[in-house]
Amino acid sequence: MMPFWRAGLALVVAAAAMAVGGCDYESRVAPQARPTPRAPGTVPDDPGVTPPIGTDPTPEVVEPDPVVVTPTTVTVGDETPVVIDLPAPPPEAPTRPRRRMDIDQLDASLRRVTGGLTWTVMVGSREDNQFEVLSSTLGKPDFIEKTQEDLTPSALFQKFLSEAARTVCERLAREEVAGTRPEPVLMVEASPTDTWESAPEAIEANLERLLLRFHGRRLAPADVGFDRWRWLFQSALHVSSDPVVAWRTVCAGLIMHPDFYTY
Amino acid sequence: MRRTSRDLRGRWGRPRSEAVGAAALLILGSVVAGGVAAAAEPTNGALLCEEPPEQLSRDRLFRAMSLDIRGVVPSIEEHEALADEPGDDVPDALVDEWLESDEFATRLERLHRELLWNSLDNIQLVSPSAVFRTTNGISWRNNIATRYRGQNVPCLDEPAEIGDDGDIATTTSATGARQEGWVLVSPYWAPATTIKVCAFDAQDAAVSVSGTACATPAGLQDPGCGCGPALRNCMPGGSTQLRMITDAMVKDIDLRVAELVETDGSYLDLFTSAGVWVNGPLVHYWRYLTAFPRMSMSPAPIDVDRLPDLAFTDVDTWVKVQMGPEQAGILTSPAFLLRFQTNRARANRFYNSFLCQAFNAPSGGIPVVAGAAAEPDLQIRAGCEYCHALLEPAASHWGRWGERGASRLAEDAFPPFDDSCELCATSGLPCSRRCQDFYVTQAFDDREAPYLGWLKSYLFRRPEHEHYVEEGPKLLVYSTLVDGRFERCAVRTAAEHLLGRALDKGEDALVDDVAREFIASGYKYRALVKALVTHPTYRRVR
Repeated sequence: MMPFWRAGLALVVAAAAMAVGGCDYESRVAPQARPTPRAPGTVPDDPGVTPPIGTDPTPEVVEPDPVVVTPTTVTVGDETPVVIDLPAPPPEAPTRPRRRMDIDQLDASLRRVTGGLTWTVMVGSREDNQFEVLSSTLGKPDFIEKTQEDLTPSALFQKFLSEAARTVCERLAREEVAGTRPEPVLMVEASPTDTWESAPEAIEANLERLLLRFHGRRLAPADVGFDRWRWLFQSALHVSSDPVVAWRTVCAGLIMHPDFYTY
Repeated sequence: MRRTSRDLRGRWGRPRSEAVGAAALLILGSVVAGGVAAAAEPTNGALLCEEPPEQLSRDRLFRAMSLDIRGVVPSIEEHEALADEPGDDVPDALVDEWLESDEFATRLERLHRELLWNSLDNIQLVSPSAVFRTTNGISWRNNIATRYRGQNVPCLDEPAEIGDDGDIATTTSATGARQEGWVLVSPYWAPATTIKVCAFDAQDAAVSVSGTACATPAGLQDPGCGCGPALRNCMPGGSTQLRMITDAMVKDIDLRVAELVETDGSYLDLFTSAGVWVNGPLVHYWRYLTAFPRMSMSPAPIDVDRLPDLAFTDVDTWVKVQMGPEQAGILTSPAFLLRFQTNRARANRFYNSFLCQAFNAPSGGIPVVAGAAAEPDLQIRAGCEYCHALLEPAASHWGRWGERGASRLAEDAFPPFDDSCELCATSGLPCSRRCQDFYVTQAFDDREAPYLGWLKSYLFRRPEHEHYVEEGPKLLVYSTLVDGRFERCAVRTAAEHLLGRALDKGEDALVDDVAREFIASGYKYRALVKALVTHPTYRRVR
């Protein structure tokens, strides 16, 4: 019987191999002798039974050569290097990398998903589109000093996107509650007073609609990806006790999620 | 020479959700492996497991195509309508509809602004001597004030007194300045209003008393000349009106691109057609404001006589005008000529953006050869020949389009060889401005001497390249069609734009296949984009 410490060691080595091996999830157990195939007409666990006379003769079974495995003894402290030659991965079909929207796409898409709102700031009586004001900072080229658009989702981009999302979603929620928008966008399937306790189906239906609207993802409540949005709504509702704040939070989360600003 | 990372979209790793998953695995791995992983000190990036590529769902593909073609995500109603369509792809008819839309035209304009670096925001078109400044509500040209008043001062703030013979009365100040009063003028940029303009500056004679043609640079030297009727030869201070003109030049190219989408015309037309788009500010500029140019704008690169009658205020009225056969589409458009003001720069941009060939130094740098600078011909000078053996002949395709500005040197007015320019160059007589600007009039080396009196673009031109000068950029486009570089680059550029990455060597087959389709379609750019966004590679995202 294997001593307890050796069994423990084997477990640790196996776990370490899994962790260090990283991305190759194929098992790497040592090859073992395959079981001897059962001859036709024989009975399992009773290889010695002879078929009755008069039946077709049983074809001769060629026993395969047994695979002899020489066990490698690994002991604690043994640092013998072992070379493992993994087969080359098959060539992968070409792909395209996810891309961040450019500023014009972001501006237009924000308008599209919010029913016409974008990131604006009032300067006196003038409403300035911040995507235009900050276009250079956000990487849009002027073709004089900068000739290539910077599409990295940098920390600066995230900061501005977060600001845009909070500005737009706050206004969207406020105007929807006030009834001043031509048609609702944020609370279509659920009303501003629906809570998780009072109308869970309405909340889920509304989340489904928002995910399709903002991310182009058709997720059902049972799908794995749906959980995080349900959780976000519930958490925001728990903290604020106000469904409108919860929807506002979901709106900002949807805009700041890579599924919105990348494609 | 291969292009490097020109005009590529930014690339980045995985989205946040995937990164979180990978990070969680990393944490789990480090907990289980304990000090083993720490001892090896791999980088974080090396420990991240690369997610398998995602085959986009139909809705996500729909969204990506909409963003690339229309520049905006689909509406929820469009997503819902998609669900009613059979199949797992985006319907062909819908893609076609998008490719015919104004939104696609705008996206294509954007791409070509990137390819052409289409901006003239740093260009000053009019001589500072023809620009007004305003002091106490009175407009005057301070740069040439001394010619009128003896000192750099404006006129007096009082109505001008003008005699029957047109003489402007002046008052001599204590400091000796001769100052006139102002007159009220309705300026061309705001004809419904009047502004106070110093009377000397507001003079509208076509020819001065001393015989100077006022609408020429010489008019700036003659106190008997002003800005012409409605101040048409001068520019108000500030950048508003200037930007209206330069923005219109930029938009001329945009409109050519948009027309390509609207008519589903050949992409070649963009580089060979003779059509030019103009609006009110552009017509006014070419008619009147080139009188006092900041740079070489004469002879104009377009035929001014063919321009329609539009007022400066007709900003939103655009008219397409057919020019002569010398035009080579966007490659001879005023915006391109002004953005790239040397023929080398023009050729370089064309090679970079439309042939996917960059003029890069070799990886080890340009070799330094002692005494190489003594060779005046860059095509053979050691070190320089690496690029210039190709660049110089390529640049000569723009040999009849003036440098340091935008002008057209037609053969009848600018023959390849000019006796008068050779005479002044060899006799010591003063050379005319025309000779100095456009002909070889100085030889710094014996090897340049044979070219004295020749148009500058003929300098060191080999016999087999001389016709490049006369045939112009259209010849360059056609010759690169013959060897397939032009269409392959058009495909490569579109593919890299849509896939968001550089194509690698293994994808040459993709370029070849789509290029064949592109040619078969009659160089239709809409067909090219459709072939790429419906290609399986577009749907596989990592």
